[in-house]
Amino acid sequence: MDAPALIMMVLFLLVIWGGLVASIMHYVANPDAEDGAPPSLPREL
Amino acid sequence: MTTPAAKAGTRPRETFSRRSVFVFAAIGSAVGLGNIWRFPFVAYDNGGGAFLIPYLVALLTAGLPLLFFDYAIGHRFRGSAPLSFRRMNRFAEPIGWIQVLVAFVIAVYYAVIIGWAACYAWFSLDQRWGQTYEESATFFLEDFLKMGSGFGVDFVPMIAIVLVAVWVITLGVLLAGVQKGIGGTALVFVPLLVVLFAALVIRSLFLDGAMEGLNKFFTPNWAVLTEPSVWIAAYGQIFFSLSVGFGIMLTYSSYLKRKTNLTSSGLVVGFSNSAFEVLAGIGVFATLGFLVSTSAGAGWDDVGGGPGLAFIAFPALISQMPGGPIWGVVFFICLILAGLTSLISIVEVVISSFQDKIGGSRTVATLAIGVPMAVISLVLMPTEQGLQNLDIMDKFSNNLGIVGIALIALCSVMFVLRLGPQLRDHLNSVSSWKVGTFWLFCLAVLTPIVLAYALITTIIELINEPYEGYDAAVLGVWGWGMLATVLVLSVILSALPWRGSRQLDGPPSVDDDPSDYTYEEGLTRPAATPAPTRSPKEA
Repeated sequence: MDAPALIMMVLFLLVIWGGLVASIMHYVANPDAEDGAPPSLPREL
Repeated sequence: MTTPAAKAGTRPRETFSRRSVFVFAAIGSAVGLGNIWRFPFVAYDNGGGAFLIPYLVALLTAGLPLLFFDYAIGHRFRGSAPLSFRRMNRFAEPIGWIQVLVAFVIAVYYAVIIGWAACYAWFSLDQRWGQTYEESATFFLEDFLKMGSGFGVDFVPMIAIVLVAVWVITLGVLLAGVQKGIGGTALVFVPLLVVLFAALVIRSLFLDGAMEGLNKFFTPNWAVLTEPSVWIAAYGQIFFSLSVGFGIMLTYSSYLKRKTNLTSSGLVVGFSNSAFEVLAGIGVFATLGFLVSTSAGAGWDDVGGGPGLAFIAFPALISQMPGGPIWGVVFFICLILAGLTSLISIVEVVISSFQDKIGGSRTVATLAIGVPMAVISLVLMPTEQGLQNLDIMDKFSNNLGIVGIALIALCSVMFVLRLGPQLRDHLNSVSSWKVGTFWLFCLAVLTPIVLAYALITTIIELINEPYEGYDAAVLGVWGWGMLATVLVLSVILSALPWRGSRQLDGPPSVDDDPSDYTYEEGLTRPAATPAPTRSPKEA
């Protein structure tokens, strides 16, 4: 693969798949209130 | 204690047992055929690797905000699309019905594509479509679909039989209910789809020409980022891909328990959908790189997205690749899995709405509405005119129907009913990831502008030139006529009375979920619906 294409592929994977990993970590760290754990520090979109 | 709803004879609303089941169901709905055959070519045609920037911006400023918007409405107003909008305001009910009827139209044609995929999974074993791209195209259009135009009901028996099976499976899943049917199917189908598709993508990377294909896909063209059309394409891809704006996510979120962390689940769904698209882009272009490098006779100018990719280009490359029959079966099973989970969610929008309206059981609603829907699908789609009907209905229901009703819903909720702050408060009352002014700005300003631009552009385009050169009469019936019917029916359905004695004004203060007794405390809400003060023991 050419360097620009390779770099963009890696960036694409890092950003989107990285976003997925981060969102799953946030999801796991913040169970529903009835599951017993209080929500962690809020963030804002 | 018996809740007011139950006391009055209204059935308890079904729920997903856990939010993880909801997340799988929502991912199954979002990840559909468009992820596999639409995204790769939208990205390729709009800057390649550079498309990452508009795509990411669109995801963060429209995709996730709209997803949260649907979640907030369904979860706060605890109903299908018509019931939720009815609870916002009496005059908003037609908005919900338009969403339902657009879902109805989409289900009618979407089912037949799953039927085609099932046929092609079988064909993969003997590769009866031939060896070259041209033979594959001829087989699909002439031998398989027996494609014709105009009006008619000349059936293609094989497709009709498989389509019956698709509808039996879909309605069977929906008859089983929210948790067992929709949730159970998603828990099996979604992981299976991911595993099979990942195997397919890994295999594609080792094909001759794969790197050439990835070069084509990812080489950035930064110059196009100054073109508005590229940004509109990114917003369009995110919008259509996430299943937002026509009742699916709204309906699913109404099945969540009161204290479910909405935005956290939404982030997982949104990024899962995009992660699958990127995976699909890699797999599709790696395999196309192989196809172009073989003697199949296909060049980069020949291949494109949509059904042509799945049913013409992929069969040709299956004939060329080592182990083709096995990988062909895997590919078409992926299409079936992705399609079925999406179709189930689309049909559920319709079933849930009529179940709410008639106050009947799921079985009655599924049979009373699902069977006629299947019959219409069986009359229109497995015919020689099926592809033409599908193409027109797809164009009009998506580019005009979904975009138009999403725009109307946003403007109505944000500007006429002014419920934006209430929905924001609702999301924040149950979620760990808070939304604020930026979320409201995206919904009130940014997304409506993009949707309005896309809608007006499409209308002008469709008026100036007959879509794909189809006859005016055919376009008039399956395009404009279909949309007019949707509008008229939405008003008629809104005028019909709601059966049962459910609460119709404002969000229900309590429902049948015993975990919600403190839910409404401190939440912005109309004074007419006071917060309940039941104790845990009472619930």
